Amino acid sequence: MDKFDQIIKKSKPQTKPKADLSDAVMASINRSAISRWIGRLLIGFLFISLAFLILNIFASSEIRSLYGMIINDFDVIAAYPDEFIANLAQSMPWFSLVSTIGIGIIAIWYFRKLKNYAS
Amino acid sequence: MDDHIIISEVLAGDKEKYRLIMERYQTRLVNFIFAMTSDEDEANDIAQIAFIKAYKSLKNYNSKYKFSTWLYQIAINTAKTQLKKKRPISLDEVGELSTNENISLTLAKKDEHKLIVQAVNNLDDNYRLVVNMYYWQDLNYQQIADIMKVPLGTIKTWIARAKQKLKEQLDGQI
Repeated sequence: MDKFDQIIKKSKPQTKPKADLSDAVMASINRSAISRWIGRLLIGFLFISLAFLILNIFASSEIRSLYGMIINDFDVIAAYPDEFIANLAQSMPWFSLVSTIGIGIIAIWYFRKLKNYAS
Repeated sequence: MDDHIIISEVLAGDKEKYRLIMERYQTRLVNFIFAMTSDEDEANDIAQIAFIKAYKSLKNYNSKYKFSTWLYQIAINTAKTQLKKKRPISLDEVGELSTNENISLTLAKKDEHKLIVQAVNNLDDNYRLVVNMYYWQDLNYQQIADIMKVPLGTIKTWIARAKQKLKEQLDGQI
């Protein structure tokens, strides 16, 4: 190192880290852990609600094969769309409807965040 | 305790061990960022974000490299992102705001130390970073090459050019 190098070296800008820097980082890490669990719970709840919704849609139907059930319901929707929606509304408990829509909206809103937290 | 041992313990669930990592690197990291921002509060804020990002990505850390190398990479990216958010103009433009004439004018008021820091701040981003790492953080060419992910020869060239530009800027003033 020549003289010029030494001069630059001596000009190092210096400061001290704040005393609470590590505390602030640890607090944030702990908050992230809580948020991650909330995210996982929300996503879990969303899937459970969706499962309830799907079960309720077909609850009034007779026990049929999956293939037949889908074909029949598509036929019903195509032929009698109003009747299908009326049946759907009647057979679906409010809990499932409200929770699915509500959580769906929250999940979409925080999609990126939830994706990070759940990973 | 070796960095890799601490990291494996953190990854195993002992979060509090991350404090040891922070205590080990916080002074270096804050000073490194402070040299980029010239703002104490901002340097602390960016260091805080960098440490949080490092914690969240800890499982992606490749133990083939030194932990400090990886941490500096995160700090540089975080600083660039934060400074872009804060300042609508580019870092290059910030450098252009101060000309050699300004340096001459301020010579009477500022000491040699401030003059050099200002001259370094006038350099292009890459030159500024290598000066910061080579002269002020005592990192060697290979470490800088690893952090900036460029060949060793490029780093040597950048440092030589940065030094030449500093000499031109400070010609006769120090």
